[in-house]
Amino acid sequence: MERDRKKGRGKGERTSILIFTLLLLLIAAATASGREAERVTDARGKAFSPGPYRRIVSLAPNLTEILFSIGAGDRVVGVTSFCTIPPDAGRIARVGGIVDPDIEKIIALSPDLVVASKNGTGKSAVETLDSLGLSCFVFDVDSAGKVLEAMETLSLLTGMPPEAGKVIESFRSRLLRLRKSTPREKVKGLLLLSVTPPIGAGGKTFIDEVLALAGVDNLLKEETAAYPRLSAEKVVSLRPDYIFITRGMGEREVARFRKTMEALSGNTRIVEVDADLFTRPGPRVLKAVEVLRKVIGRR
Amino acid sequence: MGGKRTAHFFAGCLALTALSGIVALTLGSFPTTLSDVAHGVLAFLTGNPAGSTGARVVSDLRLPRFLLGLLTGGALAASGAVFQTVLTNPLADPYILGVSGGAAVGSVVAFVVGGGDWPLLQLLSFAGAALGALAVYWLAGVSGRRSPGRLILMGVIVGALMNAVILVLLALTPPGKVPEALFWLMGDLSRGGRNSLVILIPLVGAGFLLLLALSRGLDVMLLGDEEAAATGLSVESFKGIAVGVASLLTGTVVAFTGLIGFVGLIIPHVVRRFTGGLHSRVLPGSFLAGGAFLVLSDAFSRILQPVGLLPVGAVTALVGAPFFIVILRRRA
Repeated sequence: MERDRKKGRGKGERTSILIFTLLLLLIAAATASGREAERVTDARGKAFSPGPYRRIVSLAPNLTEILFSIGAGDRVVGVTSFCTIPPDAGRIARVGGIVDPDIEKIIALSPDLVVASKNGTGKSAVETLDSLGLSCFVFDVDSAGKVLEAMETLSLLTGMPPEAGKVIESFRSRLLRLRKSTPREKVKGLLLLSVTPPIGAGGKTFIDEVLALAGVDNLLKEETAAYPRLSAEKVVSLRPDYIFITRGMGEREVARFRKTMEALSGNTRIVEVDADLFTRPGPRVLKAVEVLRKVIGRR
Repeated sequence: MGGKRTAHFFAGCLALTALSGIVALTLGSFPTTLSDVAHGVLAFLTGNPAGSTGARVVSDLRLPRFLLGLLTGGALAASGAVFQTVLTNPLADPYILGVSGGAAVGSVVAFVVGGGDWPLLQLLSFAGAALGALAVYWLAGVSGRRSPGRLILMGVIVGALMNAVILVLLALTPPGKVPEALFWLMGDLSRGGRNSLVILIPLVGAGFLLLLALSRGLDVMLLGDEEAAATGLSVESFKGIAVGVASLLTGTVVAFTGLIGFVGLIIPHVVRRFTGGLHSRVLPGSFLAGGAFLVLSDAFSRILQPVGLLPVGAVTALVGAPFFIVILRRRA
């Protein structure tokens, strides 16, 4: 101030400096808040800049599948050894298992984003990646609605690939249509992921939603465990109209199970369905609903 | 048993430990240079973040994992030696008296209620291990003397009960967490970090020194309970102390790494072949050999990691069993 006066700076000049500073501050604040609004948060509440990200490592098969479905497959530089769908994903560098991915391998791929699943990806892996400054975007995908959300988020994070909008819209309208057309009259059924011993899908799984949308009353809805272990006797006592079995189990075991069931409860229909549709909540979750509807004759 | 043979053995152990260190620090999927390794080690020691990515891989991933392996393998092998002496049973291992079952139940509870988060997982595993050991020790003494046979029998019974409890708990674990819980139960060295080591180094150090301080008593215990009592040792309370310290030492490392088998059973046998039965030699020998063995097994498991899942607990047996069959076949 003292010097200003000595130099003889006028009042106007000082005012203009003040205004200029204020303006700068305002602009800074505006851009900051603008950026704030653009930030994307993951299932843990962690904020991310929207990207677009170009080198993504996926630590969950369903997220890999979603990335490919929205046309962002070319952004994926690393996947787990379980990421086999679509076949193109199998040609990408492997970073190990889902629970224990090889952290060094991930770093070596120098990704700008790692996507992980809340209930699947090993927690210590996520924590280690975080501590190394390689942030994990954690998704919690456990329903068709969440698949849609994940599609939208991933499309945003990859800078809206050209196909994404169409794919997402089609998924949204299909989901809406399936919700509206859910049959009022339900059949009673359950889905088994294994037959020796029978292990079914309970109410806390995304399969429960698939069954509901297909018009199947899940007889295992009230089970405490997500995937309860049952006995053949228990299965019979539930008197299911339908038992869905995921394909891929030993043929002999399935045949034996069929025989037991047919002897004990003649009215039950046992239908084998594609295992891939019922083990990962991804873009084909609606296909799973459609397959079940076709089986029980409700389109 | 000549002193020269023992000296050679310890020199060999130190060389093996050094080798395991070199392997652990240089081996991995991320390409690192020797300068990365040097900078990484320096960064770890000084606590400053390393500059290059390669150095960070060494300081944040490889070095903590190496140290965790050394401490865990060492603690398990030294505890195993103590259990084998106190229980006068060559099949005894650090898990025989309820530690493993208790720790397993504690950790699965942590996965059910907290998703396996730090530090709940570590706390509950340790609490489980301590409670398991305490339960076995108490039950074995309910009506009569705690003979080795009664202790082992009670350990087996409590272990079976805990196994059943784990099966029930696993059914309640959120489905996505089951593989992680199972992985933990099989042993997992990937959860090491600075914060774990800061806790582990003093605890394992103290536990090991305590065991070392019991060496003379343990030597006497080799004579059998009666003979040991005749030398003036208060056998019952000595047993309690030795089993207690060894159980707590085991519980501490198990809380950070899950249940890694085989190390605590076999290493002491191999070491005794070279050092003879004196515990002032068996215990340090077991600590060094166990640590190096576990680190090398872990390196092997990491080589296989990108291809498939093979937890270190499986590798210790897979690599170790044939190796030790050969060693034990050769007469000392």
